[in-house]
Amino acid sequence: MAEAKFRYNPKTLRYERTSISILGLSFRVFGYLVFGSLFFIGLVVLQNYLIETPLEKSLRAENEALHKHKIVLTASLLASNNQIGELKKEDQLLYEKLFETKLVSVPNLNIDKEEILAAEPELFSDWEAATNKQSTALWQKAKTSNIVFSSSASIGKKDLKTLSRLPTIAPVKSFEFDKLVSGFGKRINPFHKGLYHHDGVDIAMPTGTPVLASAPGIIILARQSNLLAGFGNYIEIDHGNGMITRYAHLELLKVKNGQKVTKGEVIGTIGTSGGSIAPHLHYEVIKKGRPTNPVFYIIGGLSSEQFQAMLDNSKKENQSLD
Amino acid sequence: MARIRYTYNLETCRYEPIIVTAKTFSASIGRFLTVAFFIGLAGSIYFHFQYPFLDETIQLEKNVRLKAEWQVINKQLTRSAEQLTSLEKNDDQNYRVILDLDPLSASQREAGVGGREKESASIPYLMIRQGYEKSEKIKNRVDIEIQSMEQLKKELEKKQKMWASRPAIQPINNKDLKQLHTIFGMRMHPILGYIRPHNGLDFTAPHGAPVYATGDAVVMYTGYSTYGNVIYLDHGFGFETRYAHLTRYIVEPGQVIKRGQIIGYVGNTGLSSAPHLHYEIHYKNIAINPINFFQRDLSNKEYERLIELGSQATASLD
Repeated sequence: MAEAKFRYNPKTLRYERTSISILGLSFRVFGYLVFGSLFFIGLVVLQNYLIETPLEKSLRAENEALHKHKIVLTASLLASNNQIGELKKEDQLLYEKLFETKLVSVPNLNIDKEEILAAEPELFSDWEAATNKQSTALWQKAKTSNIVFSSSASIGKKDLKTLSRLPTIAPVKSFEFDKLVSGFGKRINPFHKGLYHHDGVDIAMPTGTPVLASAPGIIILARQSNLLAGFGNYIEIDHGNGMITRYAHLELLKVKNGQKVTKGEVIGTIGTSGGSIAPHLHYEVIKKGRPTNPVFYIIGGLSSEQFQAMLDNSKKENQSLD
Repeated sequence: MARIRYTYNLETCRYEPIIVTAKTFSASIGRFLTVAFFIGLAGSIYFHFQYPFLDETIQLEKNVRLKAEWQVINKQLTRSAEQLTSLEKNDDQNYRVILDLDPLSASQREAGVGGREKESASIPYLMIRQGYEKSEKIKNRVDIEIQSMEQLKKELEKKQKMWASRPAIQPINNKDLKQLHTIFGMRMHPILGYIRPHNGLDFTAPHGAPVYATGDAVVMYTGYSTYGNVIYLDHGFGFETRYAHLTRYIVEPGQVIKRGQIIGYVGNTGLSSAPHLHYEIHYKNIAINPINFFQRDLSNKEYERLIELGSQATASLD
């Protein structure tokens, strides 16, 4: 306990007890706080420095390992990615040589957040308006066609029969849309590299893959040929109503002339007979004596996205396989 | 003016001034510091029980950051593996199908995995171990894909040579062609007057019209026989073409020929009644009908583009 302090007042000529001023008190408290926290920091740091807890130890070891191996792994990842990049280039080159066309690279859809943020908000409002307009138009269209269809959509038995005779399935077993490597129209001949009219589509699948009749019908031609040109082993099916399908470059023929076949029946296997550079099926659809684009008939088992992808792929003016 | 402070001394009953000496000053400082020290000590004890050690916090934060970075690496590894998978899929399901090669099996593609695994197996952290495992797998798959790509490239080169050497165009330009006699097999010989096999096709064309090689080849033989001036071309892969009744030839045995290159000119030499080219294709020493070995609907413009390619090849060879 501090002793009481006095001050001499010259006016009153008396000793007066000094009162503790607020300023002085707060100055003192402030001093204690500053020095107290200095001691506090010092003590905490010292404690920290002197004592190593097991948790800290294990964390430190783990962090060191993480850091060390991160550098090693990042380097090897970079090396691998470089190699993968090179492989991609070679893959593209190989594709271009095989199909005589540029490989269309899929655009990167991963837009950075920054890009989205940087986009003008007015742009979005434009989009919104356009989309709204489009969707309204589509809705109107759908309504109209709904009315039209409901008034006339009574499929007769005869129509159903005709429909069932259309070659609506892919002519090979376990077909995937990306197996259609060359489409209908002007294509590059693989032998002399000149442009010619390719009357069918080429479906590249391994030798021995079953070939299916795409619709019920009668085999009107099943020909074996050892000639290294033309259609090779070849089948023609008449489906009636002026519809004929052709299957060329087969390995084996499993049907005979005049035989009746059902939709999806195995008629042969994929091969590379005749004038062909690779195992594939050359498939043609002849409608009333004219070759038509078979892509529009291959709809069975494909989603609309897959069909669209197949259609886009078939439009490329690339090299055919025969 | 220093304000002098006083204390009341009870013994002397007097007010005495307080004199600040070094001793009293340091004593008061010491008192102050001691109090401050205890305040700090109390604070630190409180802190110790309330919060973890500072180093722990620092290490923990570092750990979280590093783990986040590792997650990014993991994602990158997955992405690389995905890219590799798509390359492998292209390789197996497109190129190998078209080049008629067997696709690589999963065991072939995973070959060699496990070689360096043991080295990283001693690391006690799962995340690191898994990272190394993934990276090793990718490395091995990349190595195998590089080898596979090499094989594909070689195979394609071989096949392209085969495709380029296959007889595939008409030996006579449509512009010069007057008539194509498509009789192949037995027929009445117009000069000899009896039936004998006709092993080729006859292209009627004006005297001196150029004759083009129908595929890449090496000249096997040139000479004169009952067929007049003849050229035999060896295309390799079992194919041979023969061009007869030429007025003259401009190639010599051993010469390398490109498709579309002019090798001679139409004539009427040998047993021939009018200027024409007699064209034969032999496959494994058996004459086959050449009609299937050219596109008759090929437009003239395209044909001329093709023989243009052949003439460019000659120019570069000279």
